[in-house]
Amino acid sequence: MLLPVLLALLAQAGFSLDIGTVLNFIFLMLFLLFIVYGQRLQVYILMKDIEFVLKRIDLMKDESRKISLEKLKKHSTVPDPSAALDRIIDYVLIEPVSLDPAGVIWKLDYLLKVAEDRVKGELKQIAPKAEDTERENISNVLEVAAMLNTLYRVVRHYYIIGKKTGNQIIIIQLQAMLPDIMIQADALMGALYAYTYGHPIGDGTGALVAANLAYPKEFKNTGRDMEICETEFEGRKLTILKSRGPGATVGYPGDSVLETIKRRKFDLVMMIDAGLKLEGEKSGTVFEGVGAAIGGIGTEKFKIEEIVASKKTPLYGIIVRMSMKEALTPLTEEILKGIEAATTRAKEVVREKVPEGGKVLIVGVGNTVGIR
Amino acid sequence: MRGMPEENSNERYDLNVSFFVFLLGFLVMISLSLIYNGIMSLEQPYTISGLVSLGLGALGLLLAGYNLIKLQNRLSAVGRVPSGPVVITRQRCRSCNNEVTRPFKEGDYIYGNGDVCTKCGNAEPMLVTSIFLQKPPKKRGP
Repeated sequence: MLLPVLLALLAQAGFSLDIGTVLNFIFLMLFLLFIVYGQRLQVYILMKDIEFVLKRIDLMKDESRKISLEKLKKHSTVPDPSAALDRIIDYVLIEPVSLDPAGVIWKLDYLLKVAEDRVKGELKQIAPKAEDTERENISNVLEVAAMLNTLYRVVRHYYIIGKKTGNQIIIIQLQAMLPDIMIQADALMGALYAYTYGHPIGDGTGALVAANLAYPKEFKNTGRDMEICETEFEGRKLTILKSRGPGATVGYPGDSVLETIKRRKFDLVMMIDAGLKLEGEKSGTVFEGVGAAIGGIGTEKFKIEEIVASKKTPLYGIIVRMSMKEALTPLTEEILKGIEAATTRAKEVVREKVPEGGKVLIVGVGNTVGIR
Repeated sequence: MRGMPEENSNERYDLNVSFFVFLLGFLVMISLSLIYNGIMSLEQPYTISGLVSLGLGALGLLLAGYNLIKLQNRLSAVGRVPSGPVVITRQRCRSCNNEVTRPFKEGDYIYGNGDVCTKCGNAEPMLVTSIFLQKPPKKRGP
């Protein structure tokens, strides 16, 4: 508004101004403005990037809550279980003190079981009509909803801190992490649908290899959310452990391995699991290692390492590579091929490392949703 | 900072892109001025400043257009929640080994019972051998 008036005044005073001079003037002004406010403008654009992601995660969080509520209502005797749902979504596990780390694993293990029992107990009250398999799936749906809720709250926290303090470092760091955050959020949405309908997911690779090795023999329940199967393969005795399907659970393989190895001696313990690939690596490729092939918080890994080391039993791992999204979403054809390859490789390892008449403990690690 | 929600409020962050649109509008205005200046300068012989102005103006317009399209795409993507996947169940007849694939039904699981075989009519249900994600169709170029 000011510029045309100024130009008119200057023209009246006898100054001749062509468009080139005006443009030069504007560019000079812009140059000065960018010197003073350039960084703020940059931060403004970064904040917009963060707002886009925040809004998207907000929608995903709402969708996950909606799906969880629908799932609960289907099996609930209460007309509106939303208050209970919000309470479960907000549950936290208060980690044990680790100032004196000796014994902290067992405390953490105990607390994890208490937390799981509490959610399962509440679900039993809210959805008494649901079968065990369905209740396990609902429990995982709620876990995903809680994770999306936490992701949203954390991103929002740093967004507000950055906006409030104007701290460019916080804003730049948050903006740099946005692609990773969106990958996580998308993977969680995929997991939400998988648990809702009961699709087998990439994380169930270990469980499916175990099921392949055991078929046609049936599994029997053992320990907490675990199954065991005794079978033979080319003169070797195989004891196969996996989490109890087809509901969504990872079980407690550490406890089952501990109990099984305490009772009898094995020539080899072999663990099969899904492992996160690095970008550029092919999904579904198989690699091997020595040690406990199991992720998670570390309690199950600790138990397996403890017992195996004390019994001096060789411990091998077979891992199928996949991305985080593939691990949490329904199996792809590449992962299925990887599972076939891992099954074949597991048989080869048994042939190579265990003499006829020997005993092998095979542990299929992972979420067994959609797998018997 | 002005317009900041309270620390403990549950206020949502509605996207406000008005300042960004204003900046793009400003870029369009400058670009149009440059193009006008370029056209006027072209009347004078032996000058390249007109051509430079025209080029810069066109570049500014292209940049503004590109950013507007990008903004529109991002705004439409924000409201789209990823839809449920298309999952396929593969089953094999225990008697005649006939393989059948069909869309996943709730209750299907690997090594569980599937449908009755339509080929041999075996009373025992088929075995679900795999459940997998159907690849989305590849986008074809123009």
